[in-house]
Amino acid sequence: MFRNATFWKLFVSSLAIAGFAALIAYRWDVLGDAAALLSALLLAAATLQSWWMHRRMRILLDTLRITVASWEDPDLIRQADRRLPSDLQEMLQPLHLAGNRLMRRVRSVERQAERQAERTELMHAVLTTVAEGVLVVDTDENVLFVNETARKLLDITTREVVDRPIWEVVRSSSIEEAVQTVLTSEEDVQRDVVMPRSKQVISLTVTALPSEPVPGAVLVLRDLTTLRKLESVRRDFVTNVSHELKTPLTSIQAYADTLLNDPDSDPEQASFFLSRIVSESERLHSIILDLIRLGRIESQEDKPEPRALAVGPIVAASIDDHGAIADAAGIRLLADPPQTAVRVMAEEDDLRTILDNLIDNALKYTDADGQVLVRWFADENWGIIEVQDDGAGIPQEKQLRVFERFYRVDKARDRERGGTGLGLSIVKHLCQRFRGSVEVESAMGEGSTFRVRLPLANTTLVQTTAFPAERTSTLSPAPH
Amino acid sequence: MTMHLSRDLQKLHRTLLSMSSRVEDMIHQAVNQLGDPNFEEAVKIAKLDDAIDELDVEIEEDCLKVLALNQPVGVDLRRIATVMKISGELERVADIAANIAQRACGLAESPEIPIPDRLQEMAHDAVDMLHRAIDAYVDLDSVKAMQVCADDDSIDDMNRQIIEDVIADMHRTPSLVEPLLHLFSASRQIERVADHATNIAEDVVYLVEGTIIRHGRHFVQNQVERSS
Repeated sequence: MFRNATFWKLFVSSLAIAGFAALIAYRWDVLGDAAALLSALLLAAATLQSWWMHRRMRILLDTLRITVASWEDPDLIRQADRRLPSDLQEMLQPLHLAGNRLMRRVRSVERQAERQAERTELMHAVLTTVAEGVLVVDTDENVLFVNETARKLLDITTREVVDRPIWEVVRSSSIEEAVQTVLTSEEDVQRDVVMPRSKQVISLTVTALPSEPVPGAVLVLRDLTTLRKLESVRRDFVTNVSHELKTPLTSIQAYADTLLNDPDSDPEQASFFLSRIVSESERLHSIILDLIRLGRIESQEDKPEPRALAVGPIVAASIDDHGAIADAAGIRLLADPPQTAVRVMAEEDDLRTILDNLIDNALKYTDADGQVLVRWFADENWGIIEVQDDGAGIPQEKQLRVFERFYRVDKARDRERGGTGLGLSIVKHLCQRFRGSVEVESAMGEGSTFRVRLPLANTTLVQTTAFPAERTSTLSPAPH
Repeated sequence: MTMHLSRDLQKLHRTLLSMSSRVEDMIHQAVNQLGDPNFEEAVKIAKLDDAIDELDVEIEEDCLKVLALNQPVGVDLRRIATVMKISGELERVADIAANIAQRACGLAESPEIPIPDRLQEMAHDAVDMLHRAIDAYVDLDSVKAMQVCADDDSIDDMNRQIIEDVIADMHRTPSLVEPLLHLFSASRQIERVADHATNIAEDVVYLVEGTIIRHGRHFVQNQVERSS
């Protein structure tokens, strides 16, 4: 209390008033001897008054301080307020009211900001997870936002992208040009862009952000690679199917015309022409049969009813059937059975078709004195069947395409070897029908291995191998 | 840095990057020609090369102007020197792109020679090196640039193997010397793309760290010889 300047100011002024009163009393001798006593009393009163005033002010200032400092805590303010004398409480009333109003205002602003933040977060989440790539730039072509898909499609590897110019981050002349066009002319741009590195086809739409002047542009990117590929496969299919059907038909027509125009021709020649007509129509027939079969598998009219099948006997049957062809071509057709029997989930006819097509194919593309080896075994949950040949092999870039309908590795020579061009396509679709897959592994000059993967049947049910004993010896030529 | 200088440098940076993206497009197209040659495309690539030449001249003029007007020092000077050199390298890559496309067409005339898988792989790697070198320039990342420099050796190895194979083929079938020469040349050109990518990467190291690492091995060897 004694260190407080306010207190001393009050004290001195009270003292001065008291002293003045004492002086007057003394001068006019109003009180006589009582003057000294009065002075002492006045002095004490002055001290008390100063102390009381100081205390009041102290409480008032404290309350003010608490009111201002902890305006967010009404309980604390009420507590502080209670310590005040009632007249002072009234004095602070307008301040409290103003404080309450301010608090309500701040609270509502805070709530709004929270909602705004939630909304922004939602927008951000939506833009991030949307299937299209989204990239936003401002007028200076600096990136404001980019989502994960856009990063992947545009091959953006740098982590920090925001606030950097798009031409530095993306580095594609066509995209740069599109953005510039939109920012200067405000006209939307729509075009397909091929990314040079990934070879992906991207449909790019650049739109100016609304409002004047243009505050930036939005790039929306969609991956068209699969779509384009499907389109080209379909286009190829139509071309191929017409070509494949036309070739035998043209020969038939030519032979028939010759026979018609020259009825008295040499009977030997006529019979040759007729035999050609028969063989060409057989070819036509087999193409159409394969097409029908493929159509049926693709449309999945009949649901697959896979059951546990031992692979061994089916391989044996297929090898038996192809024995004569292999012998005629001078190719060794061998089987390499596993130690324990393998049972896969499939349908018997379809598994047979898969094997027939693969073995047929292998025999066709293997030269005389070559070897075709059929191998099957279990690998975790898969039954694996491999047909390996040591023929010419398939170039790397064509390996994925051999399962397409009518795709021929060597357009000129493959047709001579016969076949409809649909065999591998049928194999692929049959494998997929049983939730399996087929792949090819090949190197030029070293032959190819076609690997079929089918789900393994429950292994506890496996019985002893049913593969005929005379063919179980590894790598022994199949007896024909 | 004055406003003028900073604006000029920004413009240079931009022109160089748009040049780099165009050159990358060109070299990609040229390499694609190897798998699927097309005479018209090759002519188109050759035409694109003219625009790149113009850009190269434009960048050089701008660089000289900035040097004369602002007399920059330190990192700005290094930046201008680097831009000038990278633009020169890119211009040469564009020439190579036109050349590779021509080789591809030359090869297409004799279908009995298949394009070896290794050549495709090498082309892919070389073009990837170029991309990473430009990435390093954009990010001012000298570590990335050093990696590009290190990858050059494997390209050289692949080139050597391809050329050995080509020479062996020439001995075997002298009648096919002409198309084999195209193959030989294509391989050499692709190898040079990797060399230019390495040069760009070395320029980036200079820009970031201020040290010239070009011919580094020679220098180190000479110094060792001199000191011993």
